[in-house]
Amino acid sequence: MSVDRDHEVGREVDLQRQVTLLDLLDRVLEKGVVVRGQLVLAIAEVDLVKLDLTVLLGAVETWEKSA
Amino acid sequence: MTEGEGATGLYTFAVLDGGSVDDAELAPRRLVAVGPIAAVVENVAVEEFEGENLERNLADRDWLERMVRHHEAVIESLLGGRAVVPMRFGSIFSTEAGLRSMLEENATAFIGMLDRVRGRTEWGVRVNADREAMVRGLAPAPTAAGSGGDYLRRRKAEMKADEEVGAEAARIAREVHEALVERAEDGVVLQPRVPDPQTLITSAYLVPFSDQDAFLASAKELDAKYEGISLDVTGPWPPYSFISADVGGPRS
Repeated sequence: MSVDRDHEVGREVDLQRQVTLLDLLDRVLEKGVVVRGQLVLAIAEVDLVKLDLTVLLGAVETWEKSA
Repeated sequence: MTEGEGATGLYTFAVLDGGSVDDAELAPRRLVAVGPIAAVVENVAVEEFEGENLERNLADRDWLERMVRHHEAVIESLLGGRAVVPMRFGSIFSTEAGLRSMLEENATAFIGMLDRVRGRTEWGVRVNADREAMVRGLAPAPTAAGSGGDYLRRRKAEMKADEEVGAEAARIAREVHEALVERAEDGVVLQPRVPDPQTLITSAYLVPFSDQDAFLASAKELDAKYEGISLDVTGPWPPYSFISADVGGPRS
């Protein structure tokens, strides 16, 4: 088992850093409070951006596998 | 949002209990406090998040990675025992008045979310399967002096194990998740955008600070329990997976 986190270095479990960008994206882009109505951003228009991100994530994954 | 070029927006990272963090220790970010709650914000150039600039930025993996890591790093820096309700990536308000009005209108919802996560953090788990090791585990071990009959019996057992391994993996994944939920206050199965074929289940658990060691010990036991199955644990995370509320914006 690996327990991974940059700031968890003191923890007495088999440490191995494995929080990938994908782990982050799954949380940061999918979760958290969403405010309707007043975002100034195109980025709030989730569907359009998601499409772009999917392409992007494909690239990220390829890059990760070849790393 | 029609101020034209050079407009600044307020990138909003998280909402926390007012007074739970010093404004001074936040710089260059700051608090926008409304009643008992406060948002942690940073000024951003709105143009970077709009139109062609946004398209160009999103096509740039480094830009996105930098932004996502920044979002995460700021929210993590707030944790330290505080109740933190993370906002979705890219929550940018054009004016402080707009943000204040959103916080006012949704104060009750935010207070409820803060209560839910206070004293707790999120731990992530991936249950991974090594298919070949599982097949070996399911098939009986070869006898010392293998006769032809033994070989055939073993081959047959291996073929049967190969057929059963999928169902067995699914059963173990459920069992692991249920065991971890027992040790946590809540648990959810996540849907990764880019699933790893080796990963049976990706999940997140909301764990009170006081139960953290027991939860991790339990994960370690489960990791050792099954042939060909291993657990990756990540955390502690801000409680992203237990906050997925849509709140209304301010009236315009």
